[in-house]
Amino acid sequence: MTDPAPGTISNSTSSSNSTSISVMIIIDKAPFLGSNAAESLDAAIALASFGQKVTLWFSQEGVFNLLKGNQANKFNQLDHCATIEGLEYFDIEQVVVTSEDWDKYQLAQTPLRLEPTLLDSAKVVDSFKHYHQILRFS
Amino acid sequence: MMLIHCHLPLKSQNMQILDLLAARHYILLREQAILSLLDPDFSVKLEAYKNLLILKNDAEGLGVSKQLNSEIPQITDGEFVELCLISDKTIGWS
Repeated sequence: MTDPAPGTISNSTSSSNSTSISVMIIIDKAPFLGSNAAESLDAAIALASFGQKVTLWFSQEGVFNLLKGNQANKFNQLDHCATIEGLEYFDIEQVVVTSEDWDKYQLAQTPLRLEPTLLDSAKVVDSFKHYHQILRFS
Repeated sequence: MMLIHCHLPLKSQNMQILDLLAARHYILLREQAILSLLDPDFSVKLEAYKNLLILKNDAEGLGVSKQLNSEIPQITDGEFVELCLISDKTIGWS
């Protein structure tokens, strides 16, 4: 499988494994204030563990899951955000943030758990056509 | 004086009423409402509130306490409870 070009989302249907599907999971909820973000990550890891190609899009308040300084213990929650640092071990290498959210929430000034791929929101939305499934938990 | 505490992301359609309340009452941001302070669409207006407060525990938990305007007081859970007791009314605002 070829790596996607920098600044792009790969055409996930071109996977060499014909039995795998491509899934984008949208995480747009802040961490620890409900189970949404944690369950989205669980789903991503479960899918990737079974060989499916997963892209994570951290959108709007979901970008706060990426902050290195967040503290699950303040909300008496398990730290699902720690797993973000290990996503590459599950072959989840496509982690996307829009450049609009990057600027809006001043993420350049904040230590993050990983460096996401920055894309225009229009480009992310345009990439939907390449995925078999788009999941957003609500 | 009343205490109005917000826990959901603020919505522009609710800001007009919140603006009026902020002139005479405490506005406490907690949970996701704190993130509105990082949104330029809301931060300028919120930072102009005279009695704006932030729940310290939630700001730290979300990892944003250092990004927030240091002039806005961050109060502990205990101080939140004290404020509830001394306020004429406490209103959850969403």
